[in-house]
Amino acid sequence: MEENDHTVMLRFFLAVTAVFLLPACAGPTVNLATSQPIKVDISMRLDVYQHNRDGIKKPGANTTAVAPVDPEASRRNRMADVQLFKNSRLVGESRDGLLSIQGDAPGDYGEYVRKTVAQENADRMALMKASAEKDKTPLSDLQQKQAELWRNRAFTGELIEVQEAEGSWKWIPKPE
Amino acid sequence: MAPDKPRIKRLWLRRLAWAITSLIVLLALAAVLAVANLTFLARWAVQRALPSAKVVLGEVAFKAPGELRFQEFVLKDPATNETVLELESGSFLFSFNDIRQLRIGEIRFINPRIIIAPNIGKLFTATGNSQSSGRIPFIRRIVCDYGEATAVVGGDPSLHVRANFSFDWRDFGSDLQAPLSLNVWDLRAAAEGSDTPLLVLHVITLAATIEGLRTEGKVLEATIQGGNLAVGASLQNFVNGFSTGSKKPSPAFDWNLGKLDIRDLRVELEADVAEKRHLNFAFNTTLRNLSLAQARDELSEEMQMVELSNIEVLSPLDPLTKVLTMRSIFVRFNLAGLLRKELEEITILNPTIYVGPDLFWYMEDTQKRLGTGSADTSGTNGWTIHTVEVRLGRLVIGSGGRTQYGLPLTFQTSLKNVALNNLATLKLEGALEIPAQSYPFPAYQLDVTTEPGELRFAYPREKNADNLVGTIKITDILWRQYRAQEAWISTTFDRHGINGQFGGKAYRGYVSGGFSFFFAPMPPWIGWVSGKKVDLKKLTNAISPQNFSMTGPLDFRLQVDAFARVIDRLKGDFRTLQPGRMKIGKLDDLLEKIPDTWSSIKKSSARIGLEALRDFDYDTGRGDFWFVQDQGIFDLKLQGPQGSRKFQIVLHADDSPLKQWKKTTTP
Repeated sequence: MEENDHTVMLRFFLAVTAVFLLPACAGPTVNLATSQPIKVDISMRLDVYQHNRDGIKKPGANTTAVAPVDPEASRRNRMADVQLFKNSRLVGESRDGLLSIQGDAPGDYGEYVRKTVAQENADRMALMKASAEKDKTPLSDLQQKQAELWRNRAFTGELIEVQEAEGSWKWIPKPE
Repeated sequence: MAPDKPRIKRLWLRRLAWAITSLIVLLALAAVLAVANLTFLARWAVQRALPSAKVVLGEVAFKAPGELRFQEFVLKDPATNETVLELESGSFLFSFNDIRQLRIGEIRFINPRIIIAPNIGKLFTATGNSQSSGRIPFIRRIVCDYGEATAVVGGDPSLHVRANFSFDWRDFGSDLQAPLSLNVWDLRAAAEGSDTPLLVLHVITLAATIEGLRTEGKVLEATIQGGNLAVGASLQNFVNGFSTGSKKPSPAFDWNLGKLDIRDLRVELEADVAEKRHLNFAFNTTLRNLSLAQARDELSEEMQMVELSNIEVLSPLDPLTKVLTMRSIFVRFNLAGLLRKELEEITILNPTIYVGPDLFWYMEDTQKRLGTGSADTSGTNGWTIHTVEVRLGRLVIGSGGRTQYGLPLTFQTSLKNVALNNLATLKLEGALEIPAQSYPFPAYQLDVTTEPGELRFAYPREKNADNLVGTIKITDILWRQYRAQEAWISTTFDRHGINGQFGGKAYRGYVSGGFSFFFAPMPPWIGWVSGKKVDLKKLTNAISPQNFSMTGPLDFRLQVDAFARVIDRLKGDFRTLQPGRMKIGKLDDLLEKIPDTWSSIKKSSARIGLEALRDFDYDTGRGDFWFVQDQGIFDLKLQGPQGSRKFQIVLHADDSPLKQWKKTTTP
């Protein structure tokens, strides 16, 4: 009999213990949310290549070719570089229809700017000389007309050389 | 007493025979005397017939039986002793039958020269009255194969008229109501002291009856076939002198005309400009029942119309370049107006103005030539056009006429009382009306619907002013998929090119801009556009529907540098004005294509990443871009509560990495 009572008591104790302990199982709240919204910074670059859609042989595409380079095509090929220089106000359109370096660029980049501008001016001169001979126009006159055209075509903010009322020339960003 | 009767009879017969013989002898003697003094008798007879004239008659003699010929017959006005009629020679033909019927057989005038003096009519009458009621002799035939007539008409300066004539009148005087015709040809009228005739009439046919001429001075019909009339300063001087001078129309010309028929009279308008260009047109008319004075007035007042077609005005510098073409010009005027240098109306149909440097060179060249003194600069003797109408005109904006670029527009205009008083200082101001119309320009993928507008012009170009200034209101404009409404475009033209400004409502905002188009081969042009508060959702839907969208208002600026239809350079920037949402709809395609073979974690990660990239709410956004031909950079920077998005799209024309602009770009 005593053994049975002991068993009953043990079961009662376990039951009471379970009653009191089970609520304790809820434990502390664990917060998984962030106090600030999650910020994601995405920076991506998409390069789109157009592989000679028109079938036009671009200058420099075949360096072994010995055919003379068309100055117009050559100019077209460096237009993006020249535009970047203009955006950076490193170069401007001068009174003689040529590009002029107006800003300092250090190191290799500066050398690249100078080399590119020299090539651009050589191509422009070749084109203007050919046009002057064709139209039997003095080269200086043609240079002035081309300079005026370049000034007119300049985007707002690009450097241009303009003549002042008293006749002197100065460099200004093209006004709006 | 009965035997005496035969004797008496014989006596009377003998007396009669003597009488007849004597008469015959007398007649023979008279005839001999008459023949011997034929010239004297003829001169006496003519002088008796024309007592008002002074008669000079040369030799008169029989050249053949029944033919009496005379030499050098001259009639002079006794008052002035001026010759009015001169015949080299002439002849009278008659037969026995003519004598029996008391008529003249035939009168033939050989090379007569008639000088029609103001009072010539009086010389041919017995009383000196031009409208005589005397008996008209009956002449079987009056003929003249070739004669000359001259006359001096008008005041100071006078008009010298010369003409040739011929006639062949049968049974003259038998029926006074029978029409007689006079053929006149090669009539030439020249101003005094001038060798150039003002008027040349090729053939004139006059018809009249003797009775009509005698009683009413009436010419039944005058028909003029072919000729030239030069309308210019000389004719004007003559008319002025005629109307103001002391010499009035003479009675010799005071006739009535039953019918005047003029065919193919070419009127030559002497343009009063340095180059003396002439304008010709045909003059045809029929007038009835009027006096010569009335005929002159009717002819001068009758409205005429002339059409000139396919006129091209070429560049003074390049003969292959057109500056103005006109398909038809209708000029309405009357001769009186021409003499006053007035044109009633000029209607120009289908003109095309080629707006380019050559047009302005032409205008300046014309202005220079007119200003050198060759034109009338007195301001008192110029031309006036009462009405100028221009219909269905086209305006072609071009670089020189050979190759046209730009947009053709139609126009019309109406001007009143355009005075060309002083061509050197002429100022012509007007407006070319742009009618409400839809203009499709497929080459430019452009459709424009305009409201009525006008293109104002001024000639000559004023200093520091533009020649053509126009504002065109546009109801709707559709370029590719971009649409604007309630727009306007204002343009000015000068010798260097075209400058314009425009504006309009677009995408709930307002877009404005401008352009300059320079006249040159492969004409360069620049343009700039700015937008204020443009709805990004509508704009991105138009640019890239479903693939990319943004919301909120946007301000932007854009500059273009181009040659003809090829865009050379493009540069711009933009910024958002309010928070919005960006969605890259194109990424939905990628989301759908996530492979099922991927693990759950991999698929979830890819989905989260793509959705984070696809949708982004931003507070601020800005960007810029530049492209040269087919290469350049587009930058977009967005900042929002969930971070930032920086996108850079680099467009490469080639795959060479050596270019500096490619190295320096960073997202």
